[in-house]
Amino acid sequence: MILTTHHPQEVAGLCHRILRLQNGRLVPEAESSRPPATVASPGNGRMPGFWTAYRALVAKDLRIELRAREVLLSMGTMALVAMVLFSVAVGLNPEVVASAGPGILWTTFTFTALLGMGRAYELEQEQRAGLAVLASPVDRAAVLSAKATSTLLWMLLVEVLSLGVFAVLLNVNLGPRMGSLGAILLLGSAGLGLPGTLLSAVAAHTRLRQMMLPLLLVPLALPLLIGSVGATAKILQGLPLSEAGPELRVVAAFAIILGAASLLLFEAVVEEGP
Amino acid sequence: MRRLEAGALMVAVSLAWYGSFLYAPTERVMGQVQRIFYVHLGLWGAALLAFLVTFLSGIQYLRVREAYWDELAGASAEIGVLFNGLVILTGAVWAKPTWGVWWTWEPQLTSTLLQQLVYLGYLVLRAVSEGDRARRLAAVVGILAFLNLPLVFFSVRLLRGVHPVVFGPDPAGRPTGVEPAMVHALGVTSFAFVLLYSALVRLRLRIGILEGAVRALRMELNG
Repeated sequence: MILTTHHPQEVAGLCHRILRLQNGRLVPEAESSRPPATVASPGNGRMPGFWTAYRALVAKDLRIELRAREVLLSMGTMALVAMVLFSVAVGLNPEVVASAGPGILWTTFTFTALLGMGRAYELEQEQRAGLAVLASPVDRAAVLSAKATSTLLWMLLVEVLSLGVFAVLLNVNLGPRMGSLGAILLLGSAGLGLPGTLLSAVAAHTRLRQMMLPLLLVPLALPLLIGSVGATAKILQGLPLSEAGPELRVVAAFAIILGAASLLLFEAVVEEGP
Repeated sequence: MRRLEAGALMVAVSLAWYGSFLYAPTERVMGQVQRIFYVHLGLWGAALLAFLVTFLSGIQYLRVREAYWDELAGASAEIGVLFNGLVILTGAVWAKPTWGVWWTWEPQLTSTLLQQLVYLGYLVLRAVSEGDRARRLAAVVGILAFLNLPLVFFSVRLLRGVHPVVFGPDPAGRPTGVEPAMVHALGVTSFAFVLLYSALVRLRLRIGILEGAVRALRMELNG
């Protein structure tokens, strides 16, 4: 039987042999088996800073994705399928496309994001990998932010792809508007990131699992989506970004208020209570 | 105590009926149908109060971890969804003769609908999870949902540009140019709905607590 723990005092009563890891290296057994009091000395159990933990966790997600390539692949395929579905459903009439375009884009973004967020949390549940992250002495805000960052990265990559497909399939010239559109995409997706990741953790602990995520996130995200769709519509009509001020303010307010609340509430979602 | 509450409720509801049907004058443009306004707005206020209670109980639950606060949050959200649904229904009944349609994407209507969707999600969440963690999850979502409400109000105003706002009374109830008698009728109706809310929440809360006790007993019996 192997027990892994961060509480040295548990070990003394339970284990015959003790092996200690320090800075990723195995400490020789003779030294490890010393009475745990020395192990537990406060200087030893220092907590990594927010940014150290954050960088390590983001790097972990990037590494997993580079090897498995499953999140990006499924999100990208979903975006493609959604775009084709909408093109078929709306028809190729340029006037209809112009008025429905922003809605088509953001509906596609929302559903691909839901797919990515659901998968991101499932990944942590497989072999209970997420538990190991949560058991380590790391700021919970760093855990949530790191997950939101990797999810945001996948969202942005897939959104750029979707824009390309949108431009080709629906015959829209996006070239001169890419800068403004990029700014809206970044703000809107960043606003979805933290609450979306938090709610995917909430959904993971229900009987419905990730089926629950759209029911929670989509209604909550409607203010952000209304703002983003409105801003995108103005840009597609050829207006400058500054004209979309009221819309972008709602999106930014959503990002700040719900993002901050998500960081504060994450602990309550993941803690292993009695 | 319970009898006192029932008595107060009966008096308040009678006053509300009297106020909105007899005391308040008939509106000049819309006629008798405008009287639904008192019920409509009274329900709306009580629904918001219900969601506020869910928000505050959620915070309190996360602080003290007593099941009571979670039960209160859930009971209040249920009554809130019921009242908010009735707001939408009375709104439609009022809109048909006044605006000629059952539904229009007018900002107030839209925000009521959006907040209904958010709290329906909250109730589904409560139905599909159990245990201590479920209480924490519900508290988290109840808090996020309420923080989202101001954003809902602001965002639906952005839709104004797309959808024409049909003529209508100010459903926000600002008393500009409104007869004092109408304000009185609205006040007494709102008070009646707040009393009704509190009575319903307490009933629902008792059911919730008893259900919890039954579950605990059953667990004990089954070992």
